[in-house]
Amino acid sequence: MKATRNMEESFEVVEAALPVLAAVTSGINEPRIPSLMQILKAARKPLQEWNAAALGLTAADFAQNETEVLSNLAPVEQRKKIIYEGKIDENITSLVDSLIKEGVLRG
Amino acid sequence: MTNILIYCDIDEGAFELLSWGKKVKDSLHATISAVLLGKGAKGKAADYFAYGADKIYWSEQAALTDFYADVYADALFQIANTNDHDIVLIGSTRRGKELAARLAQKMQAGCITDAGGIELKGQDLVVHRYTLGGNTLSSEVLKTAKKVISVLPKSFEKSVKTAGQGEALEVSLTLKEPKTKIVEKKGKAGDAVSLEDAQTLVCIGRGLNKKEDLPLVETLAKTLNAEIGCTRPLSHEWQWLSEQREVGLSGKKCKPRLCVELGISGQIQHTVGIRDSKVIVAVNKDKTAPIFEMVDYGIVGDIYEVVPKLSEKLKTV
Ligand SMILES: Cc1cc2nc3c(=O)[nH]c(=O)nc-3n(C[C@H](O)[C@H](O)[C@H](O)COP(=O)(O)OP(=O)(O)OC[C@H]3O[C@@H](n4cnc5c(N)ncnc54)[C@H](O)[C@@H]3O)c2cc1C
Repeated sequence: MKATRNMEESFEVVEAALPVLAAVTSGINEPRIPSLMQILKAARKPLQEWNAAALGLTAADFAQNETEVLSNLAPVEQRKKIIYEGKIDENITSLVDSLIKEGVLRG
Repeated sequence: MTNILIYCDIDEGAFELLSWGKKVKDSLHATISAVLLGKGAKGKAADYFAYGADKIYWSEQAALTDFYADVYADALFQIANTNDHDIVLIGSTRRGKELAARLAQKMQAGCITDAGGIELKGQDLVVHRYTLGGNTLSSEVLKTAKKVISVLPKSFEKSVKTAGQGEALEVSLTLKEPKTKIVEKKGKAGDAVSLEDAQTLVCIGRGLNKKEDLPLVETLAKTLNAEIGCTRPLSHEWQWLSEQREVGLSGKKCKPRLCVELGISGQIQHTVGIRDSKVIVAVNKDKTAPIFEMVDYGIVGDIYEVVPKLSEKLKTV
């Protein structure tokens, strides 16, 4: 198998003999829209369920979580949220005045 | 005594990790070592010492000339193992992410990738990272004795170089052939821009109708003495701007004093890249756009109308 990897500084074309595990970035392909026939056929395809027992595993095999999540929260945004609507010229003047006061415009 | 080992395939990243190491090593009673692999490794040692490494392990063995994650993981494993390193910090570059996971497996270490920050709570390392596609910020600790953490570039500030010195040890490693083979390397279109260092940033999104309209943005950027950044669709799908200008989760994380967002909806995968700006301004014609939830100043309006006027106004101040 041959694949192109997008690295920071270059693209690398990489080859490997099978079996290969490849992780693919999103957007690699545009999924086609299945036809009605394909949707109908898909419904009749067999489904194989794999559970822990079928794989010869017990709960103990899964109980080795190595990380502990202390918290997982939406980040807090503390912004001024001054939104100007309506008269564009006046708004631009107000915006530029504010930016001058903030000291973020270079001389 | 904790021994921290640092590696990044991009030297700048290693310098950031070393700078952090230098800051925390006293509270952790730690030594900070770094690994240099491949051609020219030895020659870089002086710089690594200057950013705070106590010790360098280096090898220029032929097997390390190209970066293969399996070979490099093996090399790092041998170094970490024989020298009693229990914490390994890796730069979360594209190569680093893969390396971290492989190394952790070999070391039987717990692994956290894409950390955006590490905080000390006593002797514990609390790792902060974005989860759920960037929608939440989680704090995690590794419960294992050995730990591998990959840290996103620009998470730690690079310290000033000092005249540091230490011991540079050449290591002799037993390395196998890689399982993959690089058959070609294709350079990228050169765009040496470094958005991370920009003091002022103007970002453009899908509000721009066509590539030919870029001068609209360029004029404003020039007036503000700003760099131009963009959202992913512009750099990837449409390729109107180079990949180096993509801002966000898979692009650059920027910390400008002023960030101006034009025609950008404010999806979290983009906004994580601008969140650390001092002041954020947005222009969007949709007043319900999520971007307005995270700005200091917003103008509801069409960029084609607002931006030229804004450029004109700024020229007068
Ligand atoms: C794993 C993953 C990683 C990602 N990483 C990144 C990343 O690093 N960086 C990134 O940018 N994206 C990233 N994305 C994509 C991200 O989710 C969004 O799709 C993207 O940021 C949207 O770009 P946008 O705001 O330009 O476009 P849109 O969401 O389409 O927004 C366009 C906005 O422009 C406004 N607009 C349109 N015309 C005008 C006008 N004339 N005047 C004013 N306003 C106008 C609209 O109201 C709208 O709000 C990632 C996605 C995934 C799944």
